[in-house]
Amino acid sequence: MSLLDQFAAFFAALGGILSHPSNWALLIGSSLLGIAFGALPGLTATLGVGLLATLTYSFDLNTALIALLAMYVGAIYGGSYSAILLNIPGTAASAASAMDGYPMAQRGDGGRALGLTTTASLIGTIIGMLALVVFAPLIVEMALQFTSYEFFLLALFGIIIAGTLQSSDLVVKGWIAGFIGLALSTVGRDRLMYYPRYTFDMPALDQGLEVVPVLIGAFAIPQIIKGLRERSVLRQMQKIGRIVPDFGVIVKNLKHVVRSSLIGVGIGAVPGVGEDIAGWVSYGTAKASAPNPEDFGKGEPAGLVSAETANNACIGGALMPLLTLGIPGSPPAVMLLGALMLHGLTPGPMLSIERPTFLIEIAAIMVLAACAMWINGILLARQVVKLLRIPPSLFLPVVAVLSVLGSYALGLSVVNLYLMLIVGIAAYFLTEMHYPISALVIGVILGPMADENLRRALMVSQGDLTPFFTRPVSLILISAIVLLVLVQTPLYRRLRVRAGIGMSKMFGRRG
Amino acid sequence: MEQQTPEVRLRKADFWTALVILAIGVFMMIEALGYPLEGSYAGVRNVWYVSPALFPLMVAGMLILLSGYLLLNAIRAGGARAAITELAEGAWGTAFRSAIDVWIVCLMLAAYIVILVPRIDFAIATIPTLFTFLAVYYVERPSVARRGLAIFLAIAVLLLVVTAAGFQPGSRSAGFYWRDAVVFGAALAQIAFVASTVWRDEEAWPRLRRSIVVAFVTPLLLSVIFKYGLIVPLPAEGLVVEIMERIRYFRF
Repeated sequence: MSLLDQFAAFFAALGGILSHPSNWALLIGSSLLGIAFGALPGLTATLGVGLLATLTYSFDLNTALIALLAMYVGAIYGGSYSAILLNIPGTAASAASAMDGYPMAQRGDGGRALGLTTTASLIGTIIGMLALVVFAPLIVEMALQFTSYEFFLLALFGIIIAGTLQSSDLVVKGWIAGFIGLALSTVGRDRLMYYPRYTFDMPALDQGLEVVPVLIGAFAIPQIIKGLRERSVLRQMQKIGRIVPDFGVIVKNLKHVVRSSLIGVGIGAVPGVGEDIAGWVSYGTAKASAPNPEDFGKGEPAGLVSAETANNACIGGALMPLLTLGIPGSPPAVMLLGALMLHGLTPGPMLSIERPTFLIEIAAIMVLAACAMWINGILLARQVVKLLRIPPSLFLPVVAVLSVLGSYALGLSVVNLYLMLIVGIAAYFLTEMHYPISALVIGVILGPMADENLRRALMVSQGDLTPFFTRPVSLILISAIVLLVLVQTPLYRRLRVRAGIGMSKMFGRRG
Repeated sequence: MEQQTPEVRLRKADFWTALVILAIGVFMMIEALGYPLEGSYAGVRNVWYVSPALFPLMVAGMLILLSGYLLLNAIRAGGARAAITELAEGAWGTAFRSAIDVWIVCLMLAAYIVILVPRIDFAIATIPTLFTFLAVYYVERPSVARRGLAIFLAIAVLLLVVTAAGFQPGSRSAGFYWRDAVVFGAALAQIAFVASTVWRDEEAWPRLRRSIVVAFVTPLLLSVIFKYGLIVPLPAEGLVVEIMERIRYFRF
């Protein structure tokens, strides 16, 4: 498609969406719901997208995507409300926003801080969208050259990198979580020979584990148990004041905005690594590069703008591997993948051939979702803030009921509920023991891709393993996996320490 | 029992999880070895590289390898010693009590999902569940929590016993509606009993009142949204759905 055609398709998609008044209501409503999900401590963007996926699965794909993306964008931004006003990030993505947002609110600038995050989030989302539109076709072009060898290794790489980067304790726990996900994906009849694996003669398991109940279980149940167990007490909320989109401060911090957007897109594109890391990395970079690092943490607008721009730019980045390779870039993107699969759409390089304008349609929805978020943020923030007075112990049981109904509604099977419960309770205990659940979920999603492509690749080569090492992209992926694993070994750490000692001796002698 | 550092606590957990994951890996491998590796399956000649066992064997192998490493690490870091000492001292009771809220939430979710939802009209199953959750975690009065939870669990156990005894009426039959009505009556009795303990408590009573409203409005609203808005059948449709249908079609 030429650039002109792309613009035409973009405006046609925009016009198509806006020509239906029901879409306006859906955009504003879903965005507002997203902001509420993001703002309320105990609810997350991932959970919001997951629950909305179950509510919108009877809609047509475009309408469902409008609701889901508006929810996603709104929820990532909404986390800043409680971060700024209560010093409790509503979502992990907004943890860095509390560093400077809360001190601003303490000195009576809560409204200004909210106005800044609203505008920064709008800009971040738009830049993320632009990156998606520019880079996704390049990735697709490359991915279209991929064969089964590369797809198998890509799935393996996705699990290893997600496990490595998300593990808050030992890296091996991240990898174990990923492989547990792969193990779960093997349940059911295999797709090549239709042979039943781990079904224990139960017909309900023949089709394998339904992805969405697994996702809802993995993300909702731990959140519900944790929220109720902690019996969190409502904190005193800071005064808001007038909410103003302070464009002057945004322009003054333009370099932070641009850099944070790029960081957000880059981090979002890494499989399984979410908006929280983007926010922190961007905040850290802004602090390190600022002439006044001592002001960070004391209500410096640059810190707030950096964190909020990055976490929203991360959305475009996270959609990049999702739409081009079928590998979700962040936990909410995992849910989005589940929703797309529900609508019979399999993201990957073939998507651009099957639906050439799909990426452009997504871009149009993202722009509208960002605008809806901005309008809601500026006009309705005061109303949303009132929700922060609701204690988690009042709404989490309602979320539990919604999760049950949502999981059931997808397959109309009670087995889905049992699956959700078992996965949810296991996920809670694994989370408590610092196993990253996103890696597990990515394993469940990428398992079929890895299984089928491994066997297809070996079928093509008649059981010969050498093509894995002779194809250039395969070799790059194998090298990346080996490198990722090697740098975690004690041998590498010892070598690095010795190299460090050697270097310091060398420089010491010179000095 | 001496105070453990967070690091030791984590390594102790690693010790147990590594053992469990190791067992899962071994089980997966033994099971996968029973799948056709070579030879003929369903008239198709099989070779190792298209075998349905290939991927599970690979995953099981990795799980065994990684959990083995985790186990070794836990042993080296003192996690195994802490775990075995705790086991020998019978300190499991303390650990259980410290996580009592986790067990309560899990138990209530299990009772709701496994016992109530498949058997009772969705709204009627949800009312006592939501009310109990709110009574335990929102009202925050130990007497309310204890009574609410005890009655809820009694309802679930009785339902299980009745079902196990062979009372399994068909959907939308008279027996089904009677069972719904009995559970609804029990839920009302639960609410009344719990309310009677705090209605003079100025702080707890407004919370309990709010809990009652949420417990009734939420399931009714969700039933209408899913049944008529999204056209999705509810897990079990009984008394409430029958009443809604009659209202909808003026079938009185």
